[in-house]
Amino acid sequence: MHKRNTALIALLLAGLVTVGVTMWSSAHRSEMVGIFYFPAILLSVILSGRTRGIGAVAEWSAFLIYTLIYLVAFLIIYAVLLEWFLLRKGFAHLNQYDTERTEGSTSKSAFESLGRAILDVEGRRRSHWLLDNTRSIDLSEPADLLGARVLQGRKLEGPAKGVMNEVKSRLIKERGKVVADALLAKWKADATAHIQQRAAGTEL
Amino acid sequence: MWSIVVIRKAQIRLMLALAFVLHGGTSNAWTSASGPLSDAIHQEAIDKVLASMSASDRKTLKDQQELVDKDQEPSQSAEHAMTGITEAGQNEATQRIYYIALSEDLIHEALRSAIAAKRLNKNKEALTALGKAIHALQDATSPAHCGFQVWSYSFGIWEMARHVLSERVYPDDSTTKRYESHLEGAVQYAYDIYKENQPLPGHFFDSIHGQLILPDSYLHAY
Repeated sequence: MHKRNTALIALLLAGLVTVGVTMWSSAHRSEMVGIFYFPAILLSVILSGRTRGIGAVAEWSAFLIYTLIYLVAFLIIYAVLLEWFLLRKGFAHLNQYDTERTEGSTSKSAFESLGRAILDVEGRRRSHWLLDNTRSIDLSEPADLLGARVLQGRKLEGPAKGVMNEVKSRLIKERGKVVADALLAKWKADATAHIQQRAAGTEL
Repeated sequence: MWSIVVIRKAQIRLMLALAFVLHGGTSNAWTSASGPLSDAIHQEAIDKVLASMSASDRKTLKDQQELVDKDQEPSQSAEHAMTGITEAGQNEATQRIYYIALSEDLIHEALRSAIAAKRLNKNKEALTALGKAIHALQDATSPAHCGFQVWSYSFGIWEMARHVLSERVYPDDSTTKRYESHLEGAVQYAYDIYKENQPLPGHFFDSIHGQLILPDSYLHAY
């Protein structure tokens, strides 16, 4: 998550909620607000010195604290669901690989599919204000090279980790653990060779 | 140089105000605070019902609400039309009868003082006493107080928060209890007694159950 943006959005939404609850009579009076903000009332009572009533500063402080807590929690849940959604979209590239594989593919096509999926997810993530960039992923890097590096076990963070886990899980589901492990080991070996050849300017 | 002095004085005033409010400078019973979660119900009812009074007179009445709300101890429950349980082993029914009588005395005494001061043209003194009587009568109409509900020394923050929740916003007449009519009727009734348009009644409350006895004509009489 992009911490600064999350904080700014939470503050902006908190401002809107505050204006809504104070200026809009039906919101201010609604039972939902009373129930939703009951923890804030509890906090106000404590801040007011355990009295039947609540002081204005205590009330405002508790209200703002709880509004921010609720909003940050909402934004975190939203970001987690968004990450999951974007990852699912990126898996479409793996489906494409499944089709290619049936026609007899090389390790390079596996690297490319993996890299395309990761680049696709990361590209979409970067266009969203709430998600932070995965710094270890360079969007200008060729898909096959990125896929090979990920298969080597490097850069396993953010979408790379999610896509790699999905690949492993699909292989195990489709071919069993032994075959899947063997295939992953082969890809890993090929990935090292592929990276070296790319560096030397020759192809696998 | 002078501007710095002025700013510092303003900062000190602001800090003192914050400290005052944080230490319970406001509210109890029908809330006297106005914020995102609650209304200043005592004051709003006074403004609404006694709109014909001058703003300065209403301010005197409203200031009194905050002062009464500083009295938070269970033993001071008569000021808020509640039954105080001050120690373990006290019987609720017995205490209720005792606090109803205390509250009756308090309101009668406050209204008598208000009328006497008014006759002597001691306006501030009269309104201060009237404000005290109005506070107890308003509180008697609150859903968290009506029928002299218990306020116990043993209450924790949960009970306190539930109390605040049940009376956090200005009431309406949407339920059969007609809280708004009773709240505003109580203010008008106290004011009419003060103006000697109504006689001081023998009882404001049912002596056993503590229900406010408000003439029907005061249900939305303002």
